[in-house]
Amino acid sequence: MNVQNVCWNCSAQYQSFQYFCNQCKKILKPILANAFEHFDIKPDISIDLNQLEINYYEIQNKIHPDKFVGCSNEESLYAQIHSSNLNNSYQILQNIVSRCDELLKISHKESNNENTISDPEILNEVMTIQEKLEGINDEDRKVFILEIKEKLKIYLEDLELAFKTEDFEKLKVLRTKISYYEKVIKDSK
Amino acid sequence: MSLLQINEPGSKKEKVTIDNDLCVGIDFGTTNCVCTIVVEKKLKIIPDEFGKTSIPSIVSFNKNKFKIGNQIQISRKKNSEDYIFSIKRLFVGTPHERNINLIDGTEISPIEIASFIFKYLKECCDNYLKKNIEKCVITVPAYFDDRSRSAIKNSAKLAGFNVLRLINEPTAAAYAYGLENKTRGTYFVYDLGGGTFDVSILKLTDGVFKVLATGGDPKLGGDDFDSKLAQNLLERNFKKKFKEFDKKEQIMISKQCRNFKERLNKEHNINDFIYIENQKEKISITYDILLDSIKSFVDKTISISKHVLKQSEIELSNLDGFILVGGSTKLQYIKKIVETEFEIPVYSNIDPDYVVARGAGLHAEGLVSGSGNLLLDITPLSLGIEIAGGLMEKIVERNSTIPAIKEQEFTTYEKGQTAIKIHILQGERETVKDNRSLGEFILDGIEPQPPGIPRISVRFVIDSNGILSVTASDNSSGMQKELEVKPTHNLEITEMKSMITDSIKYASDDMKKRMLVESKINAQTFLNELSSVNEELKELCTKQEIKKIEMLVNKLKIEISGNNVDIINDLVEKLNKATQNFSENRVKKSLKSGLVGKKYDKL
Repeated sequence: MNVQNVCWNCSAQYQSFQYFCNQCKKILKPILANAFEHFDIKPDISIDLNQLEINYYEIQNKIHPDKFVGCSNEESLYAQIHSSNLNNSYQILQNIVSRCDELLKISHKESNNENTISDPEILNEVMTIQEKLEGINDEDRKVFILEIKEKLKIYLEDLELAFKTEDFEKLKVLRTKISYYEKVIKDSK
Repeated sequence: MSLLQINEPGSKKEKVTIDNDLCVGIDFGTTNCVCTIVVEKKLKIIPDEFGKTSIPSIVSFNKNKFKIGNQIQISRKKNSEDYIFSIKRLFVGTPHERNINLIDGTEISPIEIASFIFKYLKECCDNYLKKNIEKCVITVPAYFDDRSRSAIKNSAKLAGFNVLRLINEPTAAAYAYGLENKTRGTYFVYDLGGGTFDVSILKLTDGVFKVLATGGDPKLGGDDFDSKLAQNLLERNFKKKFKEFDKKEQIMISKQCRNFKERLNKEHNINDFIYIENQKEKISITYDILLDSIKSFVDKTISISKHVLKQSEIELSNLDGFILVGGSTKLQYIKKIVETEFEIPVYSNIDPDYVVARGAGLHAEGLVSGSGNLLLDITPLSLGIEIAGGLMEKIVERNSTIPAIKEQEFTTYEKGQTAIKIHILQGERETVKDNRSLGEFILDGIEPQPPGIPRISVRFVIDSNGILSVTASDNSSGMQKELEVKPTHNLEITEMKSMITDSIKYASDDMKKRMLVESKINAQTFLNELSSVNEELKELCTKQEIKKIEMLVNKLKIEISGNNVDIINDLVEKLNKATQNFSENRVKKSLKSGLVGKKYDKL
C-alpha cells in the first residue's frame, strides 16, 4: 500500500492494515483490507483451518466490542467494524470457493457472474448430473454421491495447481464446478 | 480514597471510571425474573424485599397502583384487581401493537408493563447493594427477533437501566457452565422455560465461547404444560372446558396444575383437592395424565432440536453433551427422553432455574472488569429485503456471527424509477408474505434511468446485541444520498419517554397517525407496483381477475386521499388476494426461463 495511514490518536504512521497502533496501542480506524490481511497471512489457496480458527479466536478476543465497554464511542464503533470484518473474513477463508473468489479479487481477475452458469462445458456437466439425480433410487444415489465426492477431490487438487501456475481462467471454471459439486453433496444429506 | 484521573491528551472522551462500576445480570423470564451480580469475585443472587431470589414476572394493577412479583398475593376473593402474567410472551412478534386493556379502560403497552417489572428489579438491586445500579446485561430468548430485542431493551431503558448487552439465554447458560464448571467442548443447550423454548449449539474453548447454531420456538414452554394438564383434568373429571372460565380463574387453576405437575415428578399418583370457582373438589391424578398432556409439546422440542442439529451440519458424534436449562427441564420425563433420543451425556448440575441468570451476571462482570473471556453470538434468523416479485433476498444468513456488516447492490426494476422501497424482512422462507416484516423505508431522489442501471447499495449492520440497522445509498448518481432508518418500530428512547409521560390516549392517537401514513405509503407502493406490471397482468390473468383488480385499484385510488386506515388496509389486503394468482404465475414464469444465468442455490 502506497498511501500512508495515520493513527487517529497519536498520528503515528503505518503502512498496511493492522488493528492496533504500534505506538499508542489504541484501536485503529478500520481501513480497506482483504480477508487474508485481516488474519495477517499470505494469500494462498490452501490454508490450515485449525490454525485459522485459533487465530480467529485470538484476534476476536482483542477487538470484539465487548472489550471496549466504557471506551469512547469512536473506539467502540471501530471495534464493531473490525470485529464484523473479521467475522466476514473468517467466513470467506473457511470455504474453498469463497477463498478462491477472494484470491481472484486480490489478483483483479474476478468475473462478474460468479454464481451463474454460462460456460457451455460446465452447463453440460451440470445438466448431466441433474438428469442423473432425477429418478435415481436411494441405493444408486449413494454410489453416485460417492463418485461426485471423488471427482470433487480431483477438482480441488486441480484448483491448487491452477493457483500455483496462475492459470486464472482454469481457476474460474474449477471454482464454479466445485461450488456446484459441494451443493449437490450438501443437498444429498 | 481513590486517585483522581487525568485524561490522556488528544482523546476526547476517555475511559469512564469503571473500577467502581457494578453491572447486574438479569434473567427476565416469562414466569420468573432473577438478578445476579458479581461482588468481590463472588456471584450473588439478589433477593427481593421478602428475601426471595425468584421474582414472579407478574404485575397487578388496582386503582392506579401497581404491585410486582412477590408483593402480589393472588386471592380468590372478587376484587377489581387486574393481573398481568407472562408479559414476555407479548414481546414475540409485534409488542407495539399488542396493548392490554386494563379494568378501568386504560390501554397499556407490553413495553410499559415490562418497564414496571424492570423498575422493581432495579429497586431490589439498589436496596441490596445500597448503591444506584444502572448497568445491566439482560438475557433474551435466542429466537427473539430484532423487534422483540429492541422492545426489551427499551423497557429496561425506561426503567432507568443502561443496557450494556443483551445476550441469548442458552448462551448465558453455557457461559455459566464454561466458567463455573470449566466445561470445554461442543455442547447442545436445551432451554425450556415457562414460555419459550430455545436451543443453541456452542463450542466452549479456553477464552472464547462461540455459538455455532441456534433455533427454537418463542411460544412453547412450561406454561403450556400447565394449561394443557388443566384442560385434560377439567374435561375428564368435571366435563368442563378450561377456556370457558374467566382469565383469573384459568390462572388459579393453572397454578394448581403446576403444583400437581411438580409433585408428579416424584409421585406416581396424587389424591388431592382442586379448587374450581371456590368449590373444593376431590381429584386423583395419575402420571399418565401428565404424560398425555405434555407429550406432544415435548415431542415438538425434540423435533426442533434435531432440525437445528441437522441444519448446523454438526454430527451428533461431535457433540460432547447436552446441557439442560430452564425450570421445565426439571421434569424427569424430559431428561429421560433427551437421553434416549440423543444418546449423549446430559448435564443439569447447575440449577436450571438460575443458570441463565448466573451466566448473565458473570458476563456483566466480564464486561465492566475486562475479563479474558469472550462470547461470540450469532443471529438466529436470516435478514434481507424484498425484491421484485414478492421474494426475499437474504443479505445476512442465519447463524452468522455478530457483530456483522453486510452490503449488497440492487438496482431498479422499471424505466425512469426514482425511488425504491427497502422492505426489511426476517425469516427463512422464499416469499415475502411468509417472513416477518421488520419495517420499511423509501429511498428517493434516484436519477431516472433505464432499469438495471442505478446502483443502490443496501447495508445491514447488526451490533453485538443482535439489533439491526439498515442503510441504503445511491452510488450511481454523483451525489451521495444516504438515509439511515431503523425499522419503524424502533422508536427512539426520548420519543418513547414522552409517549409514556404523556397521556396514553395521546400515544395511541400518535400511533394511529403513524399507522395512517404507513398504510398510505404501503397502498401507494402497491398501486405503483401494479401499474408497472400492467402488461404482464393482462397476459397472466383471466378477464374476471383483471376486472376485479381494476375495480379494487379504482376504489383504493379514491380512499388513499382519505383518512380511514381500516378501509385502506382492507382494500390493500383484498388487492393482495386478488393478485395472488398473478404473483405466483409470475414467479413460475421467471423460474421457467431455464438454467442459464441462474444462481446455483436456487436450482
